[in-house]
Amino acid sequence: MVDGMQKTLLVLNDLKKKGMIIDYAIGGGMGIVFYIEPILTYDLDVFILTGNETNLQPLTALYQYLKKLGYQPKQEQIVIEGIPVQFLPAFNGLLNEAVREARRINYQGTEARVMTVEHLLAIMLQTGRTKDRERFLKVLDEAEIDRPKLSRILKRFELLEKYRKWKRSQDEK
Amino acid sequence: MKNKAVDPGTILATQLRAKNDWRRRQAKLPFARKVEIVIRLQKLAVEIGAVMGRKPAGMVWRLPSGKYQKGLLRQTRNSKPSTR
Repeated sequence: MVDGMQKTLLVLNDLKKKGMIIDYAIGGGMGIVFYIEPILTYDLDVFILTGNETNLQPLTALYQYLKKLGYQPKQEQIVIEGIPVQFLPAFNGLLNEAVREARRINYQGTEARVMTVEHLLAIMLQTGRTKDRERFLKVLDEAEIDRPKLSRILKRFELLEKYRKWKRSQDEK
Repeated sequence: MKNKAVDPGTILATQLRAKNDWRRRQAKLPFARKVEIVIRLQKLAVEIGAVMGRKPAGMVWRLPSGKYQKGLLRQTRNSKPSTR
């Protein structure tokens, strides 16, 4: 049975095939769910490479194309096959690398790309909201992490100090 | 017969460890199964929101008209704009 998520992934793969985007990777809450126990999250954050990340309106063409397919935008999201999807251009070095190095997964026979857990941790550190901090500690506790890889990413994007600070708060608990 | 003393601290620690083990087992579920659980959680959040008279933040609702509307936190059916 093809579910809403699988249909959405097929649309994402089609966007890539048609050259609307160079690549994509699932991040945010749903990306995290790939590695830890299911948590409540309301949308599918899809980070994209468009080849022109400096463009102020990189999503216009994408939204126009999806609208033609019958998918309606609502505020910052567009609802594809019942799943609210938020497209986010990979506007900085870390996001760009996270999309390029995302892992390929198989979702019910459909290929999809999910950010690595190490990149997700680094993005949570960089974003730094309370929600990110809570999720960060949860991921550290539950997921299998390649520590040397995480260290390399944190060092490259100058996040080591923040990592130590957040980690300390976990150790104190 | 002498009653054995029960250490509540030990019981709590055992329970917490069991809960953590369960979480780690949940983390190893197939992604499709997890997505299914997330969707169920969303539905539950909607139901809880309805009971509490508010919409969960960030939730996109499908209206009977077929349109989608993003929910707002603390938006209740009976809420009135402040007069202050």
